[in-house]
Amino acid sequence: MAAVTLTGVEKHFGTFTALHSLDLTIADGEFLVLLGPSGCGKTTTMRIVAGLEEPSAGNIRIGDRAVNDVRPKDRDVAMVFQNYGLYPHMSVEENIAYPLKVRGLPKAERAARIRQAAEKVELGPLLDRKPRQLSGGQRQRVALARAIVRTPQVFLMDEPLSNLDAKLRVTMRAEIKHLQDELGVTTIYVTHDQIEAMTLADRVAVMSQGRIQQLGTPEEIYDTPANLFVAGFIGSPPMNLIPGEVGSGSFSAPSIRLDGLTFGASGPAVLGIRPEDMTVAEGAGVDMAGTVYAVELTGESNLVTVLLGKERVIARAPRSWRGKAGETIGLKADRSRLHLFDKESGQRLENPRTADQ
Amino acid sequence: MAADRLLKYWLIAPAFLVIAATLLYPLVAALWYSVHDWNIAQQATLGPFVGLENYTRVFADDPDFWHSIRVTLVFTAFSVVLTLVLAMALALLLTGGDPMRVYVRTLLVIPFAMSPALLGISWRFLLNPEFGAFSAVIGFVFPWLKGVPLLADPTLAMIALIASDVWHWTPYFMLMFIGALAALPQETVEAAQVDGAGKLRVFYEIMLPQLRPVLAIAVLLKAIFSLKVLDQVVTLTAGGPGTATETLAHFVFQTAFRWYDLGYAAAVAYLLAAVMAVLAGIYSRYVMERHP
Repeated sequence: MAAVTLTGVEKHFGTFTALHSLDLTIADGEFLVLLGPSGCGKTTTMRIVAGLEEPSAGNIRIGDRAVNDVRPKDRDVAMVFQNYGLYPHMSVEENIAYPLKVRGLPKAERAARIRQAAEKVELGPLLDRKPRQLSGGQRQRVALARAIVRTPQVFLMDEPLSNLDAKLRVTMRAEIKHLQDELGVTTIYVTHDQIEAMTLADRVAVMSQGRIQQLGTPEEIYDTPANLFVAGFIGSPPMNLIPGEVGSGSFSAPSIRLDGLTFGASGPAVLGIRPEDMTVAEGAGVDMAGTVYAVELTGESNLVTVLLGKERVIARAPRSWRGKAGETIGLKADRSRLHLFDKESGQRLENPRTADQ
Repeated sequence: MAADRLLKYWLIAPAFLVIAATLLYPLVAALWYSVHDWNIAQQATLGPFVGLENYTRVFADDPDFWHSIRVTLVFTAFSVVLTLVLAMALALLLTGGDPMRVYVRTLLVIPFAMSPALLGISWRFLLNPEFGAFSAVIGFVFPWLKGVPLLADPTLAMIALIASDVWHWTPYFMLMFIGALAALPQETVEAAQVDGAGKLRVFYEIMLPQLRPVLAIAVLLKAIFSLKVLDQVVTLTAGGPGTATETLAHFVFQTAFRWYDLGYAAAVAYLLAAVMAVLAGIYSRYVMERHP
């Protein structure tokens, strides 16, 4: 087990820059998730750690060893691939045994380790099968078993759940979390699924266009997104982002006005409110009024899309709430959970908390 | 409706006629000749019917036939192994899409674009002891080897014949292997690297086993091509020196068009055709199974 440190890592493919000078330190035993849309550089980052891709610049350290010139086979990492990367001509047992075999472990010891690993992921009765005879979830387990059969310095997981159906994904997610807790091995996990990121990670690195947009715990990422990209990417349904003007304690857009806010900034800005921080309200204390555009019952609550002038926002209403499209309703924003971003740079301005907080 | 159903037969009729004229007719005619004693130096019309006598003669008393079988097997064994090993090595070197590799690949395909008969003639010139390029180069490096008449030595002539064949066929199988390598799931190779396997292990334990179906087809195809080799034999060595490179197809060719023993040549040709038919049957079954 070891920490992983990337300093000034860059990657260019021809004229395309996949990674702009990336600095990232993953602590020993930490579960770090690289999260971002496709093409953001997250997989490239992981492949550089694995040694499958050479960085154009920068340094990579695993533990106290610089591994820039170390081949993948000698980096002592284990990787789970998106399509599992199982060896089709080998049985499940031979697949799991392969990392031990190439390291010249004696057969008796190998057998014991294989049994252990197979038990951990509940593969026992399938050891004689070939990968093509297994279901997606079972293949995924073989790939996991092959990764944990020896104790590597680092686990690398490249969208390991993306080929599974929704239900299995939830189960496997818990299994991966449990395994990592138990083994305590430093883990880098790549995904474009924010739920996976939020549930698994000790820390999340949100990436876009070859840069880390924000690095922090799931709470930090969710509660204080560093810029408009992170604000819009994290959360489902996404955060409402309303362009407008800010100044002297209030935010105003064509059909919205919020008073009683404390922030020093003034000028063009974007206000962010998460749907769950906007509730349907009546009478006094209503911050804005609009027309109901659509109502979607998700089961646990209602998602109400409301037209505020030209702006479309989503609010969350209790499951018992019944509203119809075309109705005029009032909305109330939780003042303690507002986000404000600079309109030009997209950077977070400050937390526009109300005076009494 | 009836006309519609007939249309498809009309459409394949020209192709069928061509095949009938060039393939079916000779096939049937040769079978007919093979059960007759017919030496066209003696008579222009078909000779007397002799039953299976030509076939029994092949097995009972014709050392020349057996000699040509041995030559063919030696030629086939070496040319198959060398061609495929070289083709795989080149495929591993030249797989990938960068311009340099694509360029080299294109250059390497040229030998395959040559007609085997012309190839034999050009190699004959190349190996000529007096003015051949090979002699000039080898003579420059090792002066005592200058002017060695390569094609006059039985072993060297065989080596030259095998070399020319390997040179001709390697590009074809290289392309085949490049295609197979590209179709290999890259993740298995990367998984093996991360699992700790070095380059050789990755090749032998991960890539090669997955290439087995393609390799099997390549071996079968090249074996078929080698067993029926004729053109280069005619133009490069003419089966010589003596009968050192007298392959089976060349033996048939000689029997028919040098000794004019058409009946006997047809019988030998039929034996070769039978072996080829078996191999071709295995091949097509293999290919069909893989692409149903």
